[in-house]
Amino acid sequence: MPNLLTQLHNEYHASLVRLLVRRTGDRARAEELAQETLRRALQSPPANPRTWLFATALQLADRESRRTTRQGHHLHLLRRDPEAGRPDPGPDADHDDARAQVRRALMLLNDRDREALLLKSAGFTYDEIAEALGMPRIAVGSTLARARRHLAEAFRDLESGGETQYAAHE
Amino acid sequence: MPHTNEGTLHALLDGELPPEEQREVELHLEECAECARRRDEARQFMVGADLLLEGLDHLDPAGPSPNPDAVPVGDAEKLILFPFPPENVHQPPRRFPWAALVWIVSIAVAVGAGYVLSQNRNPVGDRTGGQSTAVVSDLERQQAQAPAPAPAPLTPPSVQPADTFATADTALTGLAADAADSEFDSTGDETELAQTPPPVPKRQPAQQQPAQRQPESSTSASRPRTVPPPAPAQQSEPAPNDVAANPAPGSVDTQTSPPPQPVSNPEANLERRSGIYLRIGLDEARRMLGSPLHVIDGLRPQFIGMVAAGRAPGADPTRPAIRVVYLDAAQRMILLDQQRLPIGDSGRDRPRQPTITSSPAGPVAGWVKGDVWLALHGVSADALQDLAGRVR
Repeated sequence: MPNLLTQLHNEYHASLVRLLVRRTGDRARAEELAQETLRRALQSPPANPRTWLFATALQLADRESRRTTRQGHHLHLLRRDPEAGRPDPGPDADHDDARAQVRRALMLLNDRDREALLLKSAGFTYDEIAEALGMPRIAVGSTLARARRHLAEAFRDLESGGETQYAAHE
Repeated sequence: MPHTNEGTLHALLDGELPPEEQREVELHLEECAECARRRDEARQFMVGADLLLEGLDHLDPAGPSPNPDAVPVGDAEKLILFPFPPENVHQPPRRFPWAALVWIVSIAVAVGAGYVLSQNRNPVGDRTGGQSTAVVSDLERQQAQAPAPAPAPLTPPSVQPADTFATADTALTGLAADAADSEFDSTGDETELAQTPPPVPKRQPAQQQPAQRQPESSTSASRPRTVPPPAPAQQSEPAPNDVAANPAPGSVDTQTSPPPQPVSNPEANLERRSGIYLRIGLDEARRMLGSPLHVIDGLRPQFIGMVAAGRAPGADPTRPAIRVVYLDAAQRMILLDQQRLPIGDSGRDRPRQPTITSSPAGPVAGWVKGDVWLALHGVSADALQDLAGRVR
């Protein structure tokens, strides 16, 4: 078992952290999620570690993000904050505006589009994306097309200071 | 054949279409200006999205800590022979060109929106000429006629709005070069990789709009390069890396340009002979491989591209591969094919050292490096043995 952990860590840890940094914007949190992902892999070693690890890591990040967003909304309501209805980047808030806008635009995509995009940017093939997300391979192209377009348009909208139509996806 | 849907266009650009479908789509794109234009638009969104995500890495303040065994990078290592920093070379963190990125994404979105506008204004459109002429002329007309807000509200400091739409694709290429600059320093980058200038210009320079071309050249000049500045006739050309696969939207005015002349373009011929179907850049290659592209030390690549599934010796025949094309002193093509090992294939059954085998097309040196299959071919077995030892 230690050998498996070493092997998985050596082979996938850096890539997982990179993916999760893109997803969460928080390196420390990304490290924690990567560790948690590897821990789960040890509990029930997957047949196809690469696909399993990346898919699980994104699921963990999504789950945590949803929980954080809910908590953030509750806090906003308590404070009667007029911004409460807006998507909240949560504790991952960036100090850098441009980076925060990219992350915010990314969060405005629906879960599947965002995960497909992140997996593709991590070097996954369409087959691997289809396997990781449990979707037909033929749908990967259109998913990526939609995700890329929405990300660019949402980022443009946010950068120009206007509302974005993609807030509906949140 | 019906119009190609957006998902298929993205799959084509990602090199993920089955060979048969890929041929059908490419044939259709040659005949259908609308789909070809949408392919170019899809490419802009693809590059824009990739760069946005990549920017998240560049600005991560707590990025990977430098290797304590790192050695300073020397000038020689900034050349194209070192397109990616070796693991044991410490590169100081560099800033990601966010301002340019914001501008580029705005352009990509605006060009897409402009296309929709042009379709609404002119349902028939000018589909007989250049693929994107209608888009550009319509947008320019829109800018000139109405005080309406500009589609791209953000402009970089050194580029005038008038130049925006005419150089959208060129700018995308430039941004990729900027990103490469920020990562690999400004002396060696993706632009230089495809440094061979086209011997014969594919189209006439837009002499009617010298004022609009000026900002672009000034933008290019503002980026330090080791390559000499382009000749005036090439100032409006996108980087050669993108010319074949993606003509710059709006850079051709079919109303003023002379009819296309048959040209002899050795680079295009080389591209055809090399068997690639789509040129890609270093960043795309790295993303597809999941690791830095392997190159031959001491040789200068002509270009990088995708080869269809089954065309790379020894590679997984169900997936496309990446091909780096070189020319030796005798102008013989040396091809270095690379493909990430398929899922579940650890490479244990494959040689870890270059192993020469014979194939119908000649000798091939094949081996696994990391989790990438490498196949070197195109020259004699002796030459392959020598070259394979220089692949890193």
